[in-house]
Amino acid sequence: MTVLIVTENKALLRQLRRELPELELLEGSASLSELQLGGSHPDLLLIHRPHSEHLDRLDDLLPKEIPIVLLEPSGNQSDSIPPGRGIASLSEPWSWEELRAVLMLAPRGGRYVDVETAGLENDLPETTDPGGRESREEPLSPREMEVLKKLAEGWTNRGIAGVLGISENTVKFHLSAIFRKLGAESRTEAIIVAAHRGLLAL
Amino acid sequence: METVLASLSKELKSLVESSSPSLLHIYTEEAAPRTGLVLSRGEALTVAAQAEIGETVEALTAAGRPGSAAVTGFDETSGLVLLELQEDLEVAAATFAAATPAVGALAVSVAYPSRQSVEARLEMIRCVGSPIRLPAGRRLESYLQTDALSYPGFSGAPLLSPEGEAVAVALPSRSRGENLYITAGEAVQIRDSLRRHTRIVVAYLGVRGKAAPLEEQAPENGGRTKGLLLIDVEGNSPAQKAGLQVGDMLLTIDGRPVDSLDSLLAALIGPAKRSATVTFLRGGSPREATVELVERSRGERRRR
Repeated sequence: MTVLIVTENKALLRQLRRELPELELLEGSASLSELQLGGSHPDLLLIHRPHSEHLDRLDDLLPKEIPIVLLEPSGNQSDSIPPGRGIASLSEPWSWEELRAVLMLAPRGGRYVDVETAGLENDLPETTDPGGRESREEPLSPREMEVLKKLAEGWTNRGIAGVLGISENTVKFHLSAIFRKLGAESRTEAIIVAAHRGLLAL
Repeated sequence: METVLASLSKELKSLVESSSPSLLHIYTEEAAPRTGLVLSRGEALTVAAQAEIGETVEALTAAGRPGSAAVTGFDETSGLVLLELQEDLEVAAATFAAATPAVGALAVSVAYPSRQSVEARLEMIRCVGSPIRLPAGRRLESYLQTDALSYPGFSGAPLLSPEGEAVAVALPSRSRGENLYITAGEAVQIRDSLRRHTRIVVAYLGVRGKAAPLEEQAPENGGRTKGLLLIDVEGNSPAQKAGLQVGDMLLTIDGRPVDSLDSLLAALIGPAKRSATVTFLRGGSPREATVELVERSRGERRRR
């Protein structure tokens, strides 16, 4: 996929090349108003921190068939997303995974507007206090993440020990740290909490 | 003339006596002792954080008769365990109440937490709540809490109405002393589905997602305002095999709306192996696929 990027930020360009190597990145202009498409036909236009007056004139500046992904500063969400084109808007802080997902969505005509609250909202109360959990969130070490992934795949303690080449006691040691950090009391609960934190797939 | 207190005391005593034959003291080497509730001569219900089908546990009757029981069903999302008694232990089946008691009603917890004796305590229904999500993912349509604190060995114990029917069963106690009872109605539902399916799990689909608003006007969204944007589809997962891709917007699984991690979780709870119909938007147009949901593979049995 060819992505034409509009940004003033050279560091972002380098990061994009590193994090999303599957993309063919074309360097556009620093600002939307200076952009010359010329003969190029990018699959997608990625606009970093667009000026709001440019966004209002988006349809004048760019042909409708070019899908757009906007990366916007936090709280500076453009409320008027022009209709009739594939467009996605992510507000900071976004993750590389989210960006990859919306880069896949927009060229197919999909539309997406990020909402800050959309990420981890619960639709039901929980028996444990989610607020309290949030404030005590402690990151897992890389080794604990490995053990957690094996746990989520359904491996037993002995199985985890075998596949990671560590002793069963070491596995138990890591598990008790994982359970403590996640505030979990069973393997299933650990998987659920980790999924809510975005550490595991459901 | 007998005082009210004396007659109350007598009634409570007789309630405990008459319910004792349906209690079991359940113990294993690894897990803390719990209470089991006899459902029929050969079947009992208890709770556990972890249980394997076929695993055996020790069971002791209130009359002091030791025996063993095999795990025949486990719902990992509520912790309920179905047991098959291996011998005739001369126990009596408990009866479940059809109705949920109201706040303020009195109830008696009878438990068998240690080999010493059956224990009991008088409790008041403090609240009847609905719905709630348990830490391991199950959504309870209703639950009970009483004025009592959780107590080791009381998990799995029935909460009895003054008529001697089980109105609820104590779920495994959490560290904070919170006591939570699953209502008889839901316990019976889980028992029935465990009889059919053996294992109730959070099935594995293999996605990570983010709740995302949909355009409300679009007719293909069927009035839904949110979906789940897939930001990761794991390799070799049921989702990938069904053709789901990063960037797809998940709408429903088996007709149940999916617009948050919680609703995804709820849709994934069920028998370990089953197929489900998923609907999603790809680039704004609706699609449908069939996914073969699986249990997260059990390590020991997997050969690599």
